[in-house]
This record gives sequence, C-alpha cells and structure tokens, in this order.
Amino acid sequence: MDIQFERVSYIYQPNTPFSHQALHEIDLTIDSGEFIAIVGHTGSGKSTLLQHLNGLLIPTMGTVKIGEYVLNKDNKKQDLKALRRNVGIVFQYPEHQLFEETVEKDIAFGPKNFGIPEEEISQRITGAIQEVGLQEAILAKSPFELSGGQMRRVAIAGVLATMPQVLVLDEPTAGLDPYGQKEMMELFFRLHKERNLTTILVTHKMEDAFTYADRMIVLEKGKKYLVGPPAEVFRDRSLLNNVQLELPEVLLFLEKIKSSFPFSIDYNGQSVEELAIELGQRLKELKRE
Amino acid sequence: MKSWLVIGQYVPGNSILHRLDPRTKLLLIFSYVIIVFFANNPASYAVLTFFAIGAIFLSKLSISYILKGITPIWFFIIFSFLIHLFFTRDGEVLWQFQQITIYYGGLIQGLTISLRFLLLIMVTSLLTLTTSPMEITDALENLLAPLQKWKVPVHELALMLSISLRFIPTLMDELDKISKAQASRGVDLKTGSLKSRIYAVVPLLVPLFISAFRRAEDLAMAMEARGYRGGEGRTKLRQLKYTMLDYQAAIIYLVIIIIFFYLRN
Repeated sequence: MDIQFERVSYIYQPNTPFSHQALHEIDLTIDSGEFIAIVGHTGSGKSTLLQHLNGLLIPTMGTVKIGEYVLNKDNKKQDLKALRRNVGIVFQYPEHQLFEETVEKDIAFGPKNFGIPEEEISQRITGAIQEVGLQEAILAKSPFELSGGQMRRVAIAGVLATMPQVLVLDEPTAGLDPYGQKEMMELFFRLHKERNLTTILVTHKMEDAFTYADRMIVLEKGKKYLVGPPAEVFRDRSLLNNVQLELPEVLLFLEKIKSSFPFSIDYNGQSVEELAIELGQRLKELKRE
Repeated sequence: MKSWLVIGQYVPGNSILHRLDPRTKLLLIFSYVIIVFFANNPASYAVLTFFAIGAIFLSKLSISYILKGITPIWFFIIFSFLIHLFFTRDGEVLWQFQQITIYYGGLIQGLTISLRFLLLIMVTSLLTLTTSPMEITDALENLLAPLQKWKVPVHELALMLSISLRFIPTLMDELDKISKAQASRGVDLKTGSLKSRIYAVVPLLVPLFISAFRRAEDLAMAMEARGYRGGEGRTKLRQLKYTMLDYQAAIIYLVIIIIFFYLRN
C-alpha cells in the first residue's frame, strides 16, 4: 500500500492552554515495499506521525492517504477496521498490551477481532510464534509468567498474526539486551523481504536506520528536516549534529581513520569484518611505503 | 488526552490567584461553598456571582475556557433546571400546554438551583485551575495538622492524596497508549452491542491494572531507597507562608461576606 502525507499538521488539545502542535505541514510519500526509518530527537513528532498511519489520529489539517483510505478531518466517521487490519503497529514496549490468560489467546486476539476464521487463526498462531523464535510449548502459559524478552516476542507475534501489509515499528528493540536487539531487527528485516512488507521503523538507533532502511526521514520539532537514503542523510555530520543526532559508529570510525591516517576508506555497505580486512590491507600498504 | 478531561487541570501562571497561599484559597473556597447555600434573594446571589466573576478575572484565565471546562456538568445543570421547572407547583401559572404546567415558582427555583451549581463548580474548579495538586495537599496537611493530637495520620493521608493526584495523568496516558495499541489490534470501543463493548474494556483494564501495580511497587522501592520513613520529623522543601496578599484577600472576602449577610433576607 502506498502511503502519502499531504501538508499534514497535528495539534494536541487545540483551543486550550495546553494546545501543542506536534506536526507542521508534513509532506511524505512512502512507496509499497519500502523500508523507511524515521529518526529524530525526543519530542520531534515521530510517535504522532506513526499514529496517523492507521487512523488512531486524524490530521488536524491536511490529508493522509493509505492505499484507498483517505484520512482527513472532513472524513472522520469511517470504519477503520479494514485499514487497521492492513497496517500493524508494534508500539513501544508492546508487552504492556498483553492481557489474556494464555499466550495463545493473546496472539489470537487480533486475528479474531479482524474476523479471521478459527482454523486459519490456529495456523497463524503457530506461524507467528515460530517467526518470533519461541517454542510452541509457551502457547499454553500465561503471558505474565514469561520473561520480559519473551513477553516482547509474544506481543510482536500478536501483531504479526494479523498479517499486515504495512508494519509500523515504534522502537521495537528498546530495553532488550544487545543480542536480542540484533535478533529482533534481523527478524523484522527478514519479514520485510519475505512478505514484501512496507516497513516503517521509528528508532533512536542510527545503526539500525543505517543498516536496514531504504530511506530515512529525519524529523525535527514536527517538521521534515531531511529525507533520503541513509548514505545521503549521513553525508553531512554537522547537519545531523544540529538536531542532536549522531552518525552511526561505523561512519564515525571511518571519519576518524580519515583524520588520523593519510588514506581514507569509502563506505559502500561493507560489514564490520570486511572493513577490518580492508583497513588491515591499507595499513600494510602504508608500512611498505 | 481527551479535551474534556482538562477540567480543573492546573494551568501554571503568575496571577494574583496563583500567588495566594493555597491554605487561603482552600479556606475561602470551602467557606464559599457553604455560604452559597445561604443565599435566598436576588441581591445575595448577585454578591456571590460578583465574587465568582471577580475571582475568575483575577485568575487571568478566560471565562470561555472555564465554561468549556465544565461541559460535562452542563447536562446535570440543565437536567436539574428542567426537573424544578416542571415539577414545582408554586406561584402563578406562567404557561400551560396539555399536561404540562409551568409555574412562576418553578422557574425561579430552577434558575436559582442552576445558578448555585454553576457558582459552586466555577469556584471550585478555579481552585484546581490555579493551584497545583502539590500545593493543595501541602495546604491540607498543614490545615489538618492539629488532628495529629488525636492520632489521625495526617501526613500519610496527605501523601496518599498527593500520590493519587500525581498518578491520574500518568494513568490516563497509560490508558491512552493501551487503548491505541488494542485499537490497532482491532478492538472497537465505539460500535457494537452493549455486551460487546463491555467485553472490549477487558483488554484495556487488565494491562492498566498491571501497570498500576508495577508503578506502585517501583515507587515504594524508590521512596525507600531515598530514605523515606514516614512523616515524623520530616521537613518541607517549600514552606507555606502567608503574605500580605493573603491578608488582603481575607479582608476583602470578609467584607463581601458581611455585605452578603446584610443583603440576604
């Protein structure tokens, strides 16, 4: 599903002393099948933006188009269920939304609400639980006796079981251990490829945006600050530092090499190992000279 | 947050009303609430209304904002007005249509009851609009301190009150987040039969309770880690202090009350 934002503004609690404009005339286009990373400082409007993606918030001004859905303030009363079925959102700390007696029931909750037939639901449950890397034995347990990491996975399985075409992730790895973070991101990336999803990742981690995203959107104070492929966005360090963002570690490291040795290494998607080998060769060459 | 939830939420400011000692505000408003029930003629209501409007003026908040804040109460006001209008049988007949008869006494009764409500709500919401929950509980603790002689746990009560007030917005935020997460999983709270809507509340309440308990535990732990051991011997960071402003307010209020009792029948 293509997603389009046309001059979208959003104001919280309009006409009160607490009124706060979170988005200012955002224009965006996200093509079907893209992996988009939205980054920005705290309070830059990332979470507000993502809540427009399935009609949880309706723009105060402007229009959001998602597939054939048109969301604007003249069009408030429509059935958004079909939209929400197609746009799955994994919120921050999704484990806080678990409530059922068993893991199985909790994962079934979404598909049931969207009217998926029973037989298919049980298939989806086993599929989803495998995808997030849990054993099927866990299905009969109460979600509240699981560890934090397992709860997170169960909650994510609950969203995956609705089989959305657009997957929106709001800092899905926050609070996980480093290994779990990597595993989780690999999972999302694999799903993105396998199911040909449109993935929108809201993150504080420049590394993740850098590694996985096709394009990045940098928000600052509710405005679109920078848009483009990561390689382009990360080209200008000072531009990012202005909005309290930093380059990914790899790029910082390469920059440091550039400033301390008489050679530089260009980045074009090498892994850490490849970079290490390249650096070793360059250093050897340097020694020979 | 829903806009009507803003009712009575503290609006920071620096108006005269904001700067008054919370104890002064609490006492004045408490006595005002009682005095409203003593009004019995147009002149005495006029004095009370004058006081309320004057107080709103001094708070530098817009009247429209305050009136909007009490939207949920309008229904109640209008309802009680209509009840009195239709069911009081007193005085001249003003209007008659089939079964319905409206008496002069009913009209007056309805109007005065509505005005009373309006005044009560406006003035009490003015207290919470201009006083932070912290200040209110400090003031309560201070005013109720003499009860400690009779072993009333005043400090603990005040602490409980301030913690509950402190966590209302937090829990509202939490509820908002949870309901959005569940709405994304297809929960529909707005349509469907009553039964299905009641069931739809379960996925909201269970996570909300769990998070409330978790927060309570965290808070207790954090307080203990910082050496909290109850009220005994505990000092305050912000001492309450009456200023010139409070004495002026008290005198003006007293004058108004004297005029009020002079005017009423």
